[in-house]
Amino acid sequence: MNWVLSKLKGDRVIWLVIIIISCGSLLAIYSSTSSLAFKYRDGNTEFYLVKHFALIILGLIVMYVTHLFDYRIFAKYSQILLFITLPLLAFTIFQGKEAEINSATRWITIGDQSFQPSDLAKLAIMIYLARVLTEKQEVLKDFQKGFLPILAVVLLVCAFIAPANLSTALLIFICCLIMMLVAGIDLKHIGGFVVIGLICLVLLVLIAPRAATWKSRVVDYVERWTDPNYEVNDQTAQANIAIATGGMFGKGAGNSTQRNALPHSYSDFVFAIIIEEYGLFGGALTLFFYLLLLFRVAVIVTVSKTFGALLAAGLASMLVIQALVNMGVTVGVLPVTGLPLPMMSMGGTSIIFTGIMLGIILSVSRSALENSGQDQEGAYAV
Amino acid sequence: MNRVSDSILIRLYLLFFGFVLFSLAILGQVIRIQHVQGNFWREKAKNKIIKASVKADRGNILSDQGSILATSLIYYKVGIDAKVFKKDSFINFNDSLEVLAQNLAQHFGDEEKDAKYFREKILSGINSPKLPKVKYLYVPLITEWIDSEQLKMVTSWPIFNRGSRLSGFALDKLQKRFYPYQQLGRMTLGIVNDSFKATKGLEYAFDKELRGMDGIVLARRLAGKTLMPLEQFGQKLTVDGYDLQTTLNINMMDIVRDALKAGVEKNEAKYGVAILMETKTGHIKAIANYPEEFNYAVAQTYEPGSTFKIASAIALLEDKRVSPQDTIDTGDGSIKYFDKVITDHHRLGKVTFETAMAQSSNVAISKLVQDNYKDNPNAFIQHLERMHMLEPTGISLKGEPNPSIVRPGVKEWSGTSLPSLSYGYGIQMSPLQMLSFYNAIANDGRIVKPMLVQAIRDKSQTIRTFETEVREDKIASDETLKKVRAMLEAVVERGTAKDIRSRDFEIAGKTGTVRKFYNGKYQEEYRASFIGYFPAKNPKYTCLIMIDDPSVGEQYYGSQVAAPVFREIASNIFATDLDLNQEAFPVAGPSSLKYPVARLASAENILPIYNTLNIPAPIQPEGEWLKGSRDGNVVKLAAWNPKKEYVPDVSRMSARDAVALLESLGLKVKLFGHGRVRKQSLHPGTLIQRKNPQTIILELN
Repeated sequence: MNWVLSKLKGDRVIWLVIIIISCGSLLAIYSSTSSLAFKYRDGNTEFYLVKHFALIILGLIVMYVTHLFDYRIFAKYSQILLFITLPLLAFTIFQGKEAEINSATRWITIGDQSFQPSDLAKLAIMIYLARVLTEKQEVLKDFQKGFLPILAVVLLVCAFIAPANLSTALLIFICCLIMMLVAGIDLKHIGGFVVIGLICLVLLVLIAPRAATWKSRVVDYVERWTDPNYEVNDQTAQANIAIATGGMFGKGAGNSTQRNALPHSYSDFVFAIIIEEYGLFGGALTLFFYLLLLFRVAVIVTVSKTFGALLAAGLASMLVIQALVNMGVTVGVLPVTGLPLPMMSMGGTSIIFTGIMLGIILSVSRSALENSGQDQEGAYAV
Repeated sequence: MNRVSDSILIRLYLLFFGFVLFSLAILGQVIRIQHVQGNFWREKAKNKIIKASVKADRGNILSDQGSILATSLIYYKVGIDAKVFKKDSFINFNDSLEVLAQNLAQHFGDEEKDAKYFREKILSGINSPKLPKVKYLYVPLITEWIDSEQLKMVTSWPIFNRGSRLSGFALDKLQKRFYPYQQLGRMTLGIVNDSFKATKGLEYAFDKELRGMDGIVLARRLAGKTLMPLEQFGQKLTVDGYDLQTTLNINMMDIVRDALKAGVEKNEAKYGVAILMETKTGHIKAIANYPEEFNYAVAQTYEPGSTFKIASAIALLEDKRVSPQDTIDTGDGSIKYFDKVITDHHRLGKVTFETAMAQSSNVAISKLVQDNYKDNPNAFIQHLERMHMLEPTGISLKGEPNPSIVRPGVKEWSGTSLPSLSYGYGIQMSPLQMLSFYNAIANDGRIVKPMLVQAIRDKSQTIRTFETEVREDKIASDETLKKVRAMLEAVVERGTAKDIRSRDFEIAGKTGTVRKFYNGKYQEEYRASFIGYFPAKNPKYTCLIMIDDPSVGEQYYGSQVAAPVFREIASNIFATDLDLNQEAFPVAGPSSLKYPVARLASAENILPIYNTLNIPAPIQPEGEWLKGSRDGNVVKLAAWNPKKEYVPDVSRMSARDAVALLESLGLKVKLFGHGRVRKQSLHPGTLIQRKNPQTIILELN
C-alpha cells in the first residue's frame, strides 16, 4: 500500500476523488448499459462493464503517465499542438455529413476509432493560454500588444469549433475567461473580451447551419420555464421520471428501471441514473466530489501564480464546468446539449482526454509539493 | 514563492462561490422534480414505457415431402400515430402524401374511400388541434386485416417507407394458426387456441420445438392494442420455432380421409377411424378421424373383438397347442361357459383351425384357449405381454392411454373371463395399439414404435432426425408368423372378408365386430373394424379401419362396414404407388386396365369424354366442377365447388380446366409446358388476395 502511495505523486485528495468517481462510474455504467447489452450483446451486460472498466484503467494509466511528466514540457509544445488542431477543426466543419453521430458533424474517424478534434483543441488552447498569460505578464496591461493577440487566438479556436459544437466553444470561452480572471487580467479587458465573444456568438447564430437546432433548444428551454402548459420532450421526461422516482436515497444499485426508457442513459444522461439509483444523496455526493476536486486545485492557485497553477485552474474548471453543465442539462436547469459527464460517462475519447487533463493537474500539484518541500498532507492548508 | 495578491484571491473565492451556487441550483432542481412535480412524474413512470413480448413465429408442421400442413400467418391493420409523425422530415411532403393516398385508395379503398378520403384523413390527424394535449393520436388507415405480402408493399409506399419513428407508422397484429388442408389430420396435427397455446396433437407434443422463443421489446402504448416499439432501446430478438417434418403423406391422407368419410356416411355411423402405416418403418402415412373432433385413433381404448383372435392364435401356435390344419369341432355353433353362451355368426361344424380363424369362429378360439390355459391363465397373459399388447406404443403424442385388461386374481376375473378374452373382450386397446400389433405380424415379427415425426428442422437445416425404434425384434417365431399370415390371407381369400378380395393385389387382414359396452351392459350397438396389410406377400402398408355404430339395417359387421373402406384405400394407394404397381402388374393385361379418373375437371369437358368412351360413370351430378374417384372399376363423380378464399389444388387437372378455374377465382395464371398440371406455384390453401391479384405459375407435364 505504501509502495503504491509512494508512486502516486501529487495531491492525495485529488487521487482519492478520481478513484471514487471512477468506481461510481463503473457502478452507474454497468447498470445503465443493460439496454445496450440487450440490444447488441444478446443481454451480456458484462461486455460493457469490462469494456468500460478497461477504458477507465486506460484513462488512469494515461493520467499516471502524464503526471510523471514535468508539465512545463507541455508549454513547449502548446503552440505546435494548436497549429495541428486548427486544420483538424476546419476539416470537421467541411467534411459535411461523413461522420455523423447524433447528427452533429464533429468527429474524425481513424480506423474504427472516432474522436473529436475539439477535445484536442480544448487541451491545446488551455496550455497555450496558460503559457502566454505567464510569459507576457508585463505586456498584458497593454491591450493592443499584449491582450489582443491572446484574444484573437481564443476567438479563432472557438469560432472553428462553434459551428458544429457550440457548447464546447462556449465551454472553452468560459474557461479562458476564468484563466484570465485568475491570472489577474484587468477587469476592463476581460469585459471587452466578453463583449467581443458575445458579438461573435450573435454573428454565428445568424450564419451557422445548426442555428435552427440551437434556437429550438433555447426556445424549448425558455418555454419550459415560462409556459405553464409546457410539455417536456421525451428524453427530458424520462430523465425527470428517473429523478423523481429516485427519492432521497434511491432505488439501490442496479435497480434503475428508467435506464431502459432513457436514451443515452450511459453517456449524457448518466446523472439521472445516479439519482434514480442513489437518490438525492447520491447526486449531492457526486457534486461534492467534483467541487472537492476544484477546491484542491484552487488551493494550488492560491499559493502560486505560475504557468502550472494557471494551467491547473483552467483544466480543473473545464472538467468541473463540463460536469456541472452535464448535470444541469440532465436535471433541466440548462438547455439540452451533448456534453458527457467527465470521468463518469462511457466513451473512449472523453475518458482518455480527461485522463490527460487530470494527469497534468497532478503533475502541477506534484511539482508544487516538491518545490514547497513541506509535508505533503499539510501542503495546501488554507 | 510567487504569492497571489488579495484581489486575485477575491476573484478565486467569487469564482468558487459561483460553482457552489450552481451546484446548489442543480440540487434545488432535483428537489423540485422530486417533491414539487414528484407525483406527476411518478404517475408517468407507471404507464409510459412497457415491456412487450414479441411473439416468435411458430414453426410449421410439414408433410413427409415438405408441404405445409400447419403454419402461422400474421395479419395486420395499418395506421399512423399523428403524435409521432414528423412533418419536417419529409422533403416533398405534399407529393408524398398524394402518392400514399392514391396507393391506399387503389389497394384498400372503395367508392367512399378514395385518394381524397385518405389524404384528408391523414391531414386531419397531423393537423389536429388536439395534438399538443394528447399522448397519441392514432389514425386508422387500413382497417381490414392484410397479410405480410401486402404489408411489404404498404411499407414501401412514400411516407410509410421512412419508418415508424418519423411517419408514426403503426401496426395492429394478429397471429393465426392456419391449416391449409383444413380438416385433414386435424386432431393429429393438433390444436392451438386463440392465445397461441397448444392444447392437442403434435402442436402440443412438440410445443417446445414449434414455439420458439418470444422476444421482448420496449414499447410505447398507442391507441387500442397498438404498441410502438422504441427502436433506440434494446430488444431481445425472437427465435423462431423449428419446423416438424412429419411422416404424413398428403395424397395418402386424402385417400384415407375420403374413403373413411364415405364409409362413415354410407353406414350412418357415429364416427370412424383410419390409420395407414408404412410396415417396415412404422411411419404413419395417414391418420384420419371422421369427423375430426377427437383423436379416437390414438387417445381412446376399445374392446378390439375378433381382430384380437390373432393374438390368441399366436399364443396357441407358439405353445404348439394347435396347428392350422387340426380339426376343431364347433358343434352347433355355440358353447357355454358357466352362465355364458358364446355363439358363432354361422354354424361351421367341424373345420380346420385355419378355416375357423378365416370364418372368425368365437366357439373355436374360445374353446382352444379355455382348454389350454384355464388352469394357468397367466401363461396366456404372458404371451400378450411378450407381444407388447399390454403397453402403450410410445408414439410421440401426449396422452396415449395404457391398454387395460382384466387379469386373473382381480375381483372382475371370472370363469368366463378367459374365453371372452380369447376373442377380444375384457381388454381395451387403442386403435393405434392394435395396428402396431398387426404391423409387427406384417413386418416379420418386428414391432416398431409408430412414428409421426421424422425430423425437426430449422428452415432448411435439419436439427434432429428420428429413426425407427424397434421395440422388439421378434414377437413370435417365424414358423408361427407364417401360419398366422396364412390365416390372415385366408380371411380375405375365403373367409369373412372375401368380398374385398381383389384380382389385382392380395390383402391380408382380419375383421372385427364388437358390441358396444356402456351404461353397465352390452348394447345393441356395434363397432366394426378391419385391420390388415397389403400386398399380402410382401407387405408395404398396414392399415386399420374402425367404424363406430354403423346403423343402416343389419349392416354392422366388420366385413360389411370396415373392410370395404380398407379395400378402397388399398386400391387407391395401389393405383398411385409406382413401386406397388410394378409388382402388381408385371404384364399389363386387359383385366388389369383401369378407367382413367379425372381428379377434378369441368363438367362440360369431362362428361362428353366419359360418355363418348363409354366409361361407366353412373352418377353424373349437376355442377360446374366434378371431382372424380374410383369405386372398384366404376368412376364416381361428385359435384365440387371451389372455396372462394383459397387457392385450390389443381394438380393433375387439364391445363384448360385449371386456367379456367383459377381465373374464375381472380388469379393470374402463367403456364409452362403442356398436358396436365404437375406443379403449382401457390400452394393449395393459400389465401387469395382480392385487391392485389397474384400470379400462379403452373408447370405442366
